This record gives sequence, C-alpha cells and structure tokens, in this order.
Amino acid sequence: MNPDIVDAIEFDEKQVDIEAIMRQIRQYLAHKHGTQPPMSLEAPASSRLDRDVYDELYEANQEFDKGHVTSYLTPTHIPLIGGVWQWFRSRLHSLVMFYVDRAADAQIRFNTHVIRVLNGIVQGIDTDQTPDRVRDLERRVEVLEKQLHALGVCTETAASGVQEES
Amino acid sequence: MKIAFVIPWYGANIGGGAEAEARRTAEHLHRVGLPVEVLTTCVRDFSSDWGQNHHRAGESVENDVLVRRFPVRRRNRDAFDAVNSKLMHGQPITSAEEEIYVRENVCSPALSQYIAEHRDQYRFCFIPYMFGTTFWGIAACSGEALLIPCLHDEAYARLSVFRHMFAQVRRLILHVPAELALARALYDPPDESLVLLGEGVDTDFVADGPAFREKYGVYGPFILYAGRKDHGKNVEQLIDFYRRYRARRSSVCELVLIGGGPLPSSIGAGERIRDLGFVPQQDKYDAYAAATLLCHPSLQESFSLVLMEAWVARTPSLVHGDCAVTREHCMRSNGGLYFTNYAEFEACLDLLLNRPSLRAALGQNGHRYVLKHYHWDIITDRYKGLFAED
Repeated sequence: MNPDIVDAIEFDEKQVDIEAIMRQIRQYLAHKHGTQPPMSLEAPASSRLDRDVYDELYEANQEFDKGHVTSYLTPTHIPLIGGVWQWFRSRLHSLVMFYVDRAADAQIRFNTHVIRVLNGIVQGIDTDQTPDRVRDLERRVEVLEKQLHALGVCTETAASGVQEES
Repeated sequence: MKIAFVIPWYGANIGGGAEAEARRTAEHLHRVGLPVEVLTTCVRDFSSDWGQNHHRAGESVENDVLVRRFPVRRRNRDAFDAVNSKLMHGQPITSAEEEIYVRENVCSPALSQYIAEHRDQYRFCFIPYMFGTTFWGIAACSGEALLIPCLHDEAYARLSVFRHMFAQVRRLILHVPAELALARALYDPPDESLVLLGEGVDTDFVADGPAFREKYGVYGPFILYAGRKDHGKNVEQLIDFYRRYRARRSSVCELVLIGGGPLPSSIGAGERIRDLGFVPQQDKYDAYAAATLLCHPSLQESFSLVLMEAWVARTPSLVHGDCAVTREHCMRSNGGLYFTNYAEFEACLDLLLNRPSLRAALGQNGHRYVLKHYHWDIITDRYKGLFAED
C-alpha cells in the first residue's frame, strides 16, 4: 500500500519543478510531524494536562531553533589602528562563529526532533480516547454486575422453591 | 605554449574525482590538438606513502599524453598526520601547524624546480588545491598559475596558507556556481580571475541494465550508491536511513553499493544491503541503467561525476540537501530530489519508488542537463577559449 504522500504530491510530468515538489514535501511533513505547535496553544477545556505544560511547550516551540549567534562589532573611530583592529576583530569573530554555528546546527537538529516528539506526546495524550472508553466500560461492567446480581437472586429463589415442592 | 596539468599522482587506475578529472581532461584536450602534458610525482596514489617513490622518475606516454614524473622527498609523516587528524576532526590549528601541513605534505622539489625553470614554456593547471604539489608549484610559477581547486567547504579550505595561495593564482577554474560562490566567500578573489568552466562527462557510453541484473543477481527495484565508502561520502547515514526505511515500509527495494572501501558497519543477513565492491567501469554504467534511483548522500562535492553519469543513463537521483553542489545540480536540472533529514529521505523515497512517471521525468531532465552543460565538446571548447584568452 502506498504511503499518503505518494498521492498527496502533485506535479506536471511534462515540466517537473523539483523546488515545487520539495515545497510540497516540506508542507506535508510540517503538517504530519508538526514542527510548529499543531495544537491550539490554549490548553483544551477538557485537557488532562496541567496548563503549565502547555505554557512550557509554547516557549519550547518558540525557542528550539534559536541557536545561532550574530556578529556584533562596536564601531571604532581611532585613526589607522582602529581600522586594523576592526579588521582583526571581524576575522576573529568570523572564525569563532564558524565553529559556534556548527555546534548550534547540531543542537537545533536535536531540538527539532525533541520538540516534534513532545508536541506529538502532548497532542496524543489530549486526543487519546482510552480513559473515556475505560470509564464507559467500567460503567457498563457495573450495570452488568447489578443485572447479574439481580438475576442470581432470582435464580436462588426459584431453586429454593423447587426444592420445597419436591 | 604547452599546457601542463600538475597533480600529485597520476595513472589510469587511480580513483578520486580530481585524479579522474585531470586524466580525462588531459586526454580530451590532447585529442582536440592542444599540446598537453602531465607533471606529477613518482608516488603511486593517495593511499600510498607520499614520501615513497613508486614509479621511476622521467617521461612516459600514457594514453597518448606525455607524463613527466618527479621524485618526492622524504617527509615527517607523523607530524603531518597529527595536524591532519586535527583538521579532520574540526579542531582549530595554529600557524605553525599550518606550516607543518604544507611542509610535510606530498612534495617534490624537483617538480617545483622544473616549474620554475620552464614557466615561460607552459600554462600550468594545478589540481586539486590541497596538496603540496599545488602549494609549492604555484609558488614556483610567479602568479601565472591556473588552479582547478575542486573546492568544497571543509577545514583545509579555511587554512590561511591556502588563502595566501589562492591570492597568487591567475585563474580559478570552477565547476559549478555553488563552488564559485564558496570560493568568493572564502578568498574574495578578483572577478576576472574566476572561470566557471565545468567538468567533462563521458556521454556516449552504452549502459545495459539487464546485463547488470543478470551478472549480479539483482532482480527487484534498488537504490544505487556509487563511490568510495569513506566517511566524507556520508555512506553511514545512507545505510542508517535505509535501515529505518526498511523497518517502516514493506518495500522490497534493495540498497546496492558499488565502489572501493569497506562498509562503515557490518551488514546482517536479510538486510537487503549488498556491497558489490569495486566493479569494472562498464558494470558501473550498467548499474546506473538498472537502478531505480541513485542516492548520493555526500556532503563534500565540488562537481560529482557520479551524479552526471547516472543522469546520462537517465536514472533519477536523490542527494543530500546540505551539499550545495549536488543540490544545485538537482535544482538547475530538475533531475533529482534532496533530503536533509530522515523524514525528507523517507518522503522522497516513497515518491521516487512509487511514481514511475516522476522517475522518468527526472531522469530525462538530468540527461538533458548533462548534455547541455558538460558534454566533452563543450568543455574542450571552453578550455580552448580560456587558453586563447590568456
């Protein structure tokens, strides 16, 4: 059986545009995995989770990809030496940022996976029907037990009546 | 004036992108009548000891091209390896260590001397950028060098010794716009020195898919990886992603790997991963034709001949989106898709394996792209134009 995406992606066979295909793939995945908070950021009225969980999750979704640094060099107006100093500082900044950004990229990729999992778990918990079904089933068991009990009383009464007659 | 390609090692059976480019370009330029020679060392190849002279020094003719080999000097391999290890692991190195890197690299003083003494008789094309033959050779030809850097974003490219070396080059010959953009970002060379020339691709080979299937017993759909299986080619990720894909899908699609080097991890029975190792060139071409798609996950490419050859055989490709060069090829040609994480890999594979019409369209687009930009006639004309200008 084909996965959903096979039918979801549209393209013109005579003029394939891979950027358009990749855009559709990314949209499909964003919808499926929820890179952004897929649920309402307000906790559902019947949420099983504490409101704080949603607040924390909201913050995490806003911050998970903020790892890169930007270069900020304060201007200098010292003649001659200032320019050389500024050039040296910008080179040094570029070098440091090269290594910092590599680490940040790895961290952001990790964060993205974690956030997707957390979003999925929270959404899963609040849309999970299992507790409601358990409650329904418990109620039905209770009713059936009562009916069974009533039926058992009747049976005992009938049986004792038969014994007396014999 | 003669043209000399300068490369650390040379020979018909030597692997490596730059090595193959130098050999094939020299042979094709010779065929169109340009006076081409190759200047190289006596070292056997990349994987051998760079301080050991394997070939005899002197002249030989290989495939009609005159090859001059020069002896290398002894080197401190331990010192070089210590610095190189730091670079490979992304650690910063000092200026003194940069000097060790170039001093203890493959080095032939006789070759440098020959270049210095004959610089009025040749146009020297150095390839690739990171070896001692290039570093010392460029220094010997006083600002007249042409450099085919085969550049990609790696620690070596950021060494200040190479920044100085790039500043001495008269012409930088680049394969694709992404490589040119990287050269600009790293070295800020003058615009007039930049030449976007490309690389020649053999487009007239005949690829027989059924012959490959018969010979190697691969009968179902398969993903092909072609190339060395080393860390830089990112094969570990391909195998990891393929395993995850197989665990989630009931697909019977196999992963077939061809090329030298050991697999990065052991493969269990029933995993449907087959490593055929190094195969003859015709079998490689046949594999392209037989494959459902080519997956090339490498992050460090300056051209990617493998991608071009697969497109010549009209096979669609799947590349890593973090490799600027292969992603750019796919975008310019509309001949392949790209992924940056597992979810995208899975989605692209789902599409490519289940939409034959998409595969056919991508393969055809790739084929057209190679013929239009990298056919040997086009590349040799560009070289002729370049040498005529100079």
